Amino acid sequence: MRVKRDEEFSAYVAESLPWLRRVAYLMCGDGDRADDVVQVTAERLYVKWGQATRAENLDAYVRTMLVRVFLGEQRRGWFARVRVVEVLPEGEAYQGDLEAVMDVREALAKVPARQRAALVLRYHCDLSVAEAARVLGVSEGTVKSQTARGLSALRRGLGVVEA
Amino acid sequence: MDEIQVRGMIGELAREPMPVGRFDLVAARRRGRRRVLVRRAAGVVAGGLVFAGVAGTVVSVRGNEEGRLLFRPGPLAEAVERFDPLVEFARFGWLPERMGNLHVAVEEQIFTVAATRSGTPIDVYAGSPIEVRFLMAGPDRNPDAWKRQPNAAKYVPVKSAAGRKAFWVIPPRASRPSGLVWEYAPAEWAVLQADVAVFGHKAVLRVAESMEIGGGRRFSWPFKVGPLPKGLVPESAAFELGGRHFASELVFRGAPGAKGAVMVRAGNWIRRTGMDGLPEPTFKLDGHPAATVKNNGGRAELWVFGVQGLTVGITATRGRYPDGLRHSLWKTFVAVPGGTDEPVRSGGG
Repeated sequence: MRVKRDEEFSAYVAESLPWLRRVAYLMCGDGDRADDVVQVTAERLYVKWGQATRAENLDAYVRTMLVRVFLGEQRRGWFARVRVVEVLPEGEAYQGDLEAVMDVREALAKVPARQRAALVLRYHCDLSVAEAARVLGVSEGTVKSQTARGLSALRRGLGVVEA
Repeated sequence: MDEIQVRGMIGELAREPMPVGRFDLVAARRRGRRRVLVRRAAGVVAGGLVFAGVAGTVVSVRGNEEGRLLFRPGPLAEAVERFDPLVEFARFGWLPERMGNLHVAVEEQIFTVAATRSGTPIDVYAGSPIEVRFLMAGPDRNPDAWKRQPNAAKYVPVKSAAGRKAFWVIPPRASRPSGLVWEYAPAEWAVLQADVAVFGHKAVLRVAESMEIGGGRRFSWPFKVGPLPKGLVPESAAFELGGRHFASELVFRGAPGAKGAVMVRAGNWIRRTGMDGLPEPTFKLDGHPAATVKNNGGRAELWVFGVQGLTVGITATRGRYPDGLRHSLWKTFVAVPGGTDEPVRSGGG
């Protein structure tokens, strides 16, 4: 029974890892922290696997878990998030407009975590206000206001003058 | 800047190559499984109370406060070169009411003790209301380095630290401390995380002050194994203890940095029919129901149930260790109802 559970879990996580890491990266703005968030999410998912597989939409279930792990992590002391590595990981060089990407990343990092999560859910995951509200565990009105504030903070971070 | 532009910018960011990931699927499954097992343990009635005495001695909390108080003037604790998985480097001397479930994890560079409320599942990952981590010295393991990090927390000196270096840690955008850090040995720091809003400053400080550190006390184990194959040495350990339930785990590894590990677990988990977590027994081993599991993570597990009230798990990395190792270690396994501080027989090779 557990072998089957392990196989299903492993197959799902392996297949979902790219988008999980991507969403986590957009929220965290840092590859290492994103990996930590994905790691914790996967551990929790293992525990809840039975419940997760009964969910109407497994991806949505896992995305909710991921966002809540990310938001929960914000409440922990940052020292809990420090991880010392002996070897720095190699990364592939970016071929696009690096400066623009760095500006956006920097601006996004300045957006408060909940607002950032709202922006990523709305504009990267393409969730509706109602779906984002379910993921964040808040009302639709709160999602709207957090998105608006997040956009405003993003504009400020990018030096865009609001009309 | 409209929504389309925002989508475009976030999309651009999303196309940026990700650094090589260090996500570890095997670890996720292992930790997840441990959580499942520990939850099971919390929900069952102890099958054999033979080991109740051991459970009480595996790790303990002193009811009195005779332990050395950290913040009283006096020498700092002695530093150690690495945390010995057989030695209880630190223990709580005092805990707030009802914090009766204990968790201990010993790794080479971090010794963790945590407590959660009695009567709740003894699940260390459910968020331990009080957790203390002792860190080995390192360039990144002190408040001076932490303060330089982006989004650093605020470090406010603890007034009653009697000359010791100790700070309340206030996370960014928070108004209350999330715990405190203190120098428990020269250049070595302990991190205490606890919700000050729940426990209050005084109680959190008292937990830190009453920690008993050093002294070379050895853990008491409910089993003995070995002799082990040559080169295999204890590397890490973990305990869970809550009421009548307990679980212990001892991990062995070959040469430092070598891949693969051997793990012996023993606790009073009870397998429940129809629940996942522990496997269904499929054969008898020396008269006990038993099961073997080979998982995708390259580990093979042997589970033996009802060994004088214990459930025993012996795991070894496939490929690195021969399949026969689990069974040969089982042959050396002896339950020790009174507990032993020497869980590994010497000799072997």
